[in-house]
Amino acid sequence: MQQIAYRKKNITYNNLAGYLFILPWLAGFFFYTILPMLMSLYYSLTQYNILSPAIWVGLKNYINIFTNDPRFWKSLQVTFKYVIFAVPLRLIFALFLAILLAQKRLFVNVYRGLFYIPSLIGGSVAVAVMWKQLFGVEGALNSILISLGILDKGFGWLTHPKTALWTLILLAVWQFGSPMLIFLAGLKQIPISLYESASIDGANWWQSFIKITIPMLTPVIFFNLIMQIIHNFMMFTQAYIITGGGPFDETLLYILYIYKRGFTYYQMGYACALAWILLTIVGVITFIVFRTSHYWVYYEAKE
Amino acid sequence: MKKVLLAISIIILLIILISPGQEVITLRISWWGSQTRHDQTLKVIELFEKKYPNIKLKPEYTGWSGYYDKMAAQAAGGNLPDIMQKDIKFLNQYIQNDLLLPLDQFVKNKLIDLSNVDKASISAGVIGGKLYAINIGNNAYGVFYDPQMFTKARVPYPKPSWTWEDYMDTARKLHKALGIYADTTICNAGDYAGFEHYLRQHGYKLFDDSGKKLGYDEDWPFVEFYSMDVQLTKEGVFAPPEVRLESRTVENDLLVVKKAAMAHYWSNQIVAMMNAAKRPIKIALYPNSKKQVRKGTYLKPSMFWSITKNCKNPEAAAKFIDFFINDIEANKIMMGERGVPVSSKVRNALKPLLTPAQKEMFDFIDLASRNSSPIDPPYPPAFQQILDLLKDLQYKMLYGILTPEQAAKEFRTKANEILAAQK
Amino acid sequence: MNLWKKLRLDSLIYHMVVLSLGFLSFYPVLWLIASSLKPSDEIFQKAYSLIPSSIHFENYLQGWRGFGGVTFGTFFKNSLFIASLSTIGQLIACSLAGFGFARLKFVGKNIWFAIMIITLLLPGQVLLIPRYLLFNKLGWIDTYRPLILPHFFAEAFFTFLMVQFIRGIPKELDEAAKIDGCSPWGIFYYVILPNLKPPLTTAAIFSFYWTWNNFMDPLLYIQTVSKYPVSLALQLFSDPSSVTNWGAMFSMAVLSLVPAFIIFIGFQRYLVEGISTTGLRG
Repeated sequence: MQQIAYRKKNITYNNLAGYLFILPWLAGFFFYTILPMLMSLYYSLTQYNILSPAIWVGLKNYINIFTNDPRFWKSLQVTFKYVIFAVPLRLIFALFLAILLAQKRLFVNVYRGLFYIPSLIGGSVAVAVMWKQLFGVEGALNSILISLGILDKGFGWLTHPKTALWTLILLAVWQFGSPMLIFLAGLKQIPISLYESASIDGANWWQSFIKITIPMLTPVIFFNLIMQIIHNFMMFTQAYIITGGGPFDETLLYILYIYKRGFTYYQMGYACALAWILLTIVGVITFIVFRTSHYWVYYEAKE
Repeated sequence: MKKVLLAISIIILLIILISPGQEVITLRISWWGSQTRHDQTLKVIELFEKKYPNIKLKPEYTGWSGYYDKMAAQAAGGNLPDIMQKDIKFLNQYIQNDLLLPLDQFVKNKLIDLSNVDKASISAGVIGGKLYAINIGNNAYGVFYDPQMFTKARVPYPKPSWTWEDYMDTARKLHKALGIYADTTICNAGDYAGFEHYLRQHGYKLFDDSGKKLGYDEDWPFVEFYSMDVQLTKEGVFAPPEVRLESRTVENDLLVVKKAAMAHYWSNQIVAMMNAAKRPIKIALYPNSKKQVRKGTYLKPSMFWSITKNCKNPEAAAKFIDFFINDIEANKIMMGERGVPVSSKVRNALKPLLTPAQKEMFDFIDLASRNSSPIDPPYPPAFQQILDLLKDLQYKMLYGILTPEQAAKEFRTKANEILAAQK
Repeated sequence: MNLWKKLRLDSLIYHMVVLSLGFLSFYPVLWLIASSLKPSDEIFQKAYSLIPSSIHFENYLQGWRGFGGVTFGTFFKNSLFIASLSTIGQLIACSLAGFGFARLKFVGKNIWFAIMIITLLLPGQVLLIPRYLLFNKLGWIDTYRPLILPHFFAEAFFTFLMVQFIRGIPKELDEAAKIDGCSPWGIFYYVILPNLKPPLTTAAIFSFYWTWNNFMDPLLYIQTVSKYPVSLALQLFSDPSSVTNWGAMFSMAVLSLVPAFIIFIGFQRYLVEGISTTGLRG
């Protein structure tokens, strides 16, 4: 009897403690997130031009999106293509550089800065101008290629339908500083003692890498994978300021399409419907990654 | 004695408290622009506040990008500023959603004095018979050209009466003689203005007055106009599509970097262009059509001031607008940065002070006003979608994916669909 | 002797590889800095050259003087205020929430965690108008509150980050503390927190520079120009329909990189210290 009472009290105590600790998130969720989210869901069922009140239209937006909107499918295709290439490339570079920069070498602080600063530039107008100056017909890349004799006249990397998206993918990969930092933090959390015992047992660098580094990093790899997938599905600023979605919608990333519908064409209801469709798609993908994480992510703290 | 003094002081105090003092009216005013415009406008506001000490203006300014996003959010929240700078493209929307105050009453009682402003400059702000916005600078589309290049190629300068055939001929000659592009594209600023001119010249409009369909119903104007572009691009006279698609600012336009002999922009961008090019540039009218029924050129307000419906002190706001367009000292600060001043009195006062670039702009507007026809009604809310569609089709033609005939049909069908689907 | 040679070669290769990659990575930033020193027209006309024909420090002066008497000194001060407060708030909030999700058992934990991840999936663009309306109703327009306060609520990204790192800390440490009579708070404060330096550092760097670069929210919520942060002020330079002072804009864009970079330099040494596991043996 006493044992059961004690258990009950313990559970209540645990619940209380749990909710207290997540209160910062929970309160924010109720105050700042759930209401706008629900509002956007409501708007998705209306015709809303922002300047005057919304008009109910039911599922009309969703039906139009799936049956009458080739740009929707195009932007999905463009976005998937972008994510499929940008995410792995970004993660690989980030991990590679993190490993290089985790070592205690001379000047490593300076090197870290060199790789990290590009990510600080973010999506400002300056980045757009700069990227255009590098890849434009008159830009730096063409000048170099011409002087090396590889091209005989400037190629429009940014404006050719086949290459435009790749310049954006390149931009994303170039700004790998964020996942790199997280990998650095993850690498630093691996106890040195593990490596020490491994080298005593005669393991070489590669074996340590495969048997210690990677497994211990899987929680962080998992985090970066999820976040990069989400983050890259949501990419907007760079496409907006560098290519504007063109040419022929070849760089019409999904969020850019949402922005156009909402803020350029003043069809906010339609834009919200697009957003909820995206949420569903990315949600499913994320769920799948979470589910499979059992098989490959190793947590030091056994649950 | 003491009682009397007390009584008097109480009465004086009461008089001071009760008498209407000069209460300060605060107005919020918003505009977009760059550093120059912000500095100038703030100085103009200073001048205004000196003249009307009981009116204070609270400036809220941003760059171009994001201005309308911000305004949209404010409109949704019911807290638009009192005075807003507006582009003609967005007038219709704001009026249809009942966000702007009609200004006719202020013109009637001379609070906004338009006696020196000609009808053409006022009419653009009149929608549905009411005046909703005051034009604060006139612009017109023009063909910018480098006179020295023309001389070198032994090609005569464009005349106001030149035709599309003359334009193509000139372009070909320039290309042959100088080895550079004659122009980046056919004169078609914003990827629509040239086509719009062509329509207007033949008695059509881009958008029907109702805003629910296009303003023309046959495909031949589209085919003729864009065929010129496609043809001259094929010949290498105009820049190829991948060069055109790279968005350029005035500062790195092909004309500025000497890779083309012509360009086309708003007339008020001549200042930025001459600054960047560091040599004289002149402006010419868009070409005429041999079979035209009216002039294609029109005077376009570069931007307006509007008063929003939630303004609590519209008379004070009206005073500012009046000051802005009529005060000579204020306009000496701005020197036509937003476009040529609409008041003839102001223009005459500024004439002796103009720099060469500004003079070119003023002279061109003078020329344009004598060679134009009235502006068409403001665009319907879905115009942005239509312009995107037009640009898309244009490049499909240039890349050879569609013929002008196919593109013409596709444009008319799709555009009318979009326009009909508007609420 | 052999070992020494090997080490030298190893070192040399390392530095060469990293330096060349680093140069490629850094080149566009060099371009930005070079452009900030060029006269405005040269930025576009001689785009490929990294070396200005003449150094124009006055770009920095013109840029600094800002607009209508409000210099970039004010803008930087504003940005610093907003970004610092936001970061501090976020670090506190996400470490607490992360601990809750990672270590504590409570009813509904998995559901709330799933919901938290879902909140990451809705694009900010469609939340802009509803959030604006919310803050408008509260009367918080033209204050810093909509910019700073949300950061005192844990954000999904940082919370999830903390969760992943906390799950990498051996539970034996927790149990040892529990045996000694520690409450959950005690475990959090004495066991987990000291081991969170790497992810907290990362979170600090991110939080700082994300709020620093954010210009959409200040655009919507701040009306008075003297309250603008740098991210928004940079935008005031550019208007495609009239003259843009590119040199001034680039110069301020370069300066804008400095604070975030300093934070990075300052904090990143926490990424160098290793984790100590002597807690078990000691």
